[in-house]
Amino acid sequence: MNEAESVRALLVTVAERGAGEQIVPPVADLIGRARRSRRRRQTVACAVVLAVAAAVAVPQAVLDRGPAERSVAPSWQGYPATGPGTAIALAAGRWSRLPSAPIPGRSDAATAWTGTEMLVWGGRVADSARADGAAYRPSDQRWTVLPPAPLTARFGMAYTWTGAVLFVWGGGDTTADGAVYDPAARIWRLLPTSPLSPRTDATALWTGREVLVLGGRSEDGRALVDAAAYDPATSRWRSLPALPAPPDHPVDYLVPVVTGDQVYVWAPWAHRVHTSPNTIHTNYAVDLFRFDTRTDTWSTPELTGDAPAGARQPLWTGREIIVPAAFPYRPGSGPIVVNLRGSRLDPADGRWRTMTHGPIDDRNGQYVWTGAAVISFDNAGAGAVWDPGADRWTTIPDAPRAPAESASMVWTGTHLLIWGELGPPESAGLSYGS
Amino acid sequence: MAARSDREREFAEFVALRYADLVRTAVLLTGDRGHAEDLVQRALLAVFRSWDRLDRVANAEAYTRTTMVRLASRWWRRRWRAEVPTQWLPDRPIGDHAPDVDTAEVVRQALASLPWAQRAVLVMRYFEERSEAEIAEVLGCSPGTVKSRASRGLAALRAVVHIEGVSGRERG
Repeated sequence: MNEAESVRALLVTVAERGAGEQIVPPVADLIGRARRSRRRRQTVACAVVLAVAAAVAVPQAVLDRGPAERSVAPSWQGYPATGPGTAIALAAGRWSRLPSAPIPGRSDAATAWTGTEMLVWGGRVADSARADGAAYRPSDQRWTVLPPAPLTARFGMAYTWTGAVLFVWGGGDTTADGAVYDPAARIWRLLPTSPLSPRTDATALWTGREVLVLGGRSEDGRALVDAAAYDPATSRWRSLPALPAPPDHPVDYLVPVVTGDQVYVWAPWAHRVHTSPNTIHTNYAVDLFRFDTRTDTWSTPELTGDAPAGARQPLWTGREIIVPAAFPYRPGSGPIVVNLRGSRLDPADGRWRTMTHGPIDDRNGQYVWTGAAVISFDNAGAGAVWDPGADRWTTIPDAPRAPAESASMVWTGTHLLIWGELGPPESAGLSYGS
Repeated sequence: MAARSDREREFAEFVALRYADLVRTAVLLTGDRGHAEDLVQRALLAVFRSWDRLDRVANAEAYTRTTMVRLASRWWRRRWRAEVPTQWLPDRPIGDHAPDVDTAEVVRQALASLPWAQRAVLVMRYFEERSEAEIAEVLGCSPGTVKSRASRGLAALRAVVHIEGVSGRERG
């Protein structure tokens, strides 16, 4: 038996043991789900039906709110009580379809809201990386194609909106180049050489002065914890100190959120040690670090309350960090955890508070902050909106097409735009708002 | 109506025929049965939407398997790791003379600890027996990157289990 056959034999054993013997194809269930999904798509095609559906789909049940979570800290009172981004307005919202885009629908695109347009660039269509992009302007419902970028096709890039340009760096086949797109001038500019090594899956954050690029993975899949800052005013990079993870806390990946001058970074780690010649023991946890962009220093914040066990899509509201429900970090495999709850942190008092369990919280959903509420969707199109003042979730009408994972999503100030679909390349998009 | 019912019948036959095999592959990609079934079902729903464009079963299987890898990759990118708890995974003895059950568990843990791209390459290269060119197309990288990821993934497996065969040659 050669090596390839030996490896295959091992993998077959692992697969058969992991799958077990009783594998029952859920044929009827799949056909039913496919029919429901098809019906939803057909509903979109008929504007009259959609309008009726939206009118009927009034705010739904208030879900799972325990009296123990009703206490509201003073700072929570400061969110807008009126306007299109509030939970009450969103609960009465309706869906509409975007006009077809001039480029194929995709996932993992660099996405930004400029104040007047949604920009999308790069990403992947089916299995192919893309180097094209487009801009959608809701005011006249028009798409325009972006000028060609000076970058190779890619996904997995770091990107952020600076208030003036779309910053794109890294990604693709593990690159270290980048560019900025200026929508006012409709031009791309290449970035100077970065002090960072080539990587994918880094995160870019706009601090108000600089773009921080943090973490990512090297070509061989190692998690990286170094960082650099790019100043768009001078078009210069500078190196930043790396995240100071202890040697026995090898980081798996980084999840950052910027809160003005401070960047909070979750760093899940797993450390495997041979405790005897034939025994492996795994320690694991999630460390939280804070980077002060004024002094370029790292620290470990001292916080109280129940810290979230997992962090996937932290959001900054301008007052609080919202950490929507996420599976607790653990290396290895095991049972699915349910009844997950998000957490909220007011940096001013340094205390974590648990959020009410929401209808999407166990479904690995996507979360968007609107300025006054959090909208969440699962990948079947079910949605809910969370009111930060009342700590209350309300269901909203199902999306007529299920938003793909890694679809482009932006909040425009009045509407949520979703673009990019799972499956065959399509240029469909949706708009949701009141 | 007849076309719809034909399509549903063909799809049902495909699911009945291939579901178990797809779940076994998904177990290797995700690390456990629950997430594996979730992955396979989401991929199958995507396949059903494209059924009319596929050349039935042969293309459907390839499309399903590619969709599974893409979906699993997205889950990984979105930090939902199918790699969840270890508390029920006892520390395992490793060595040439360990029973198959323990060896499989050690390999499963080693696979779960690999970076996503290496794991996906190992599964596609050695379990699905795809070529480097096919894997490169699925993952959106070069064949050279596939080769280096396979090499690193194998090295990680060799660190925890004895793998028979002296050749490290890769099939092209």
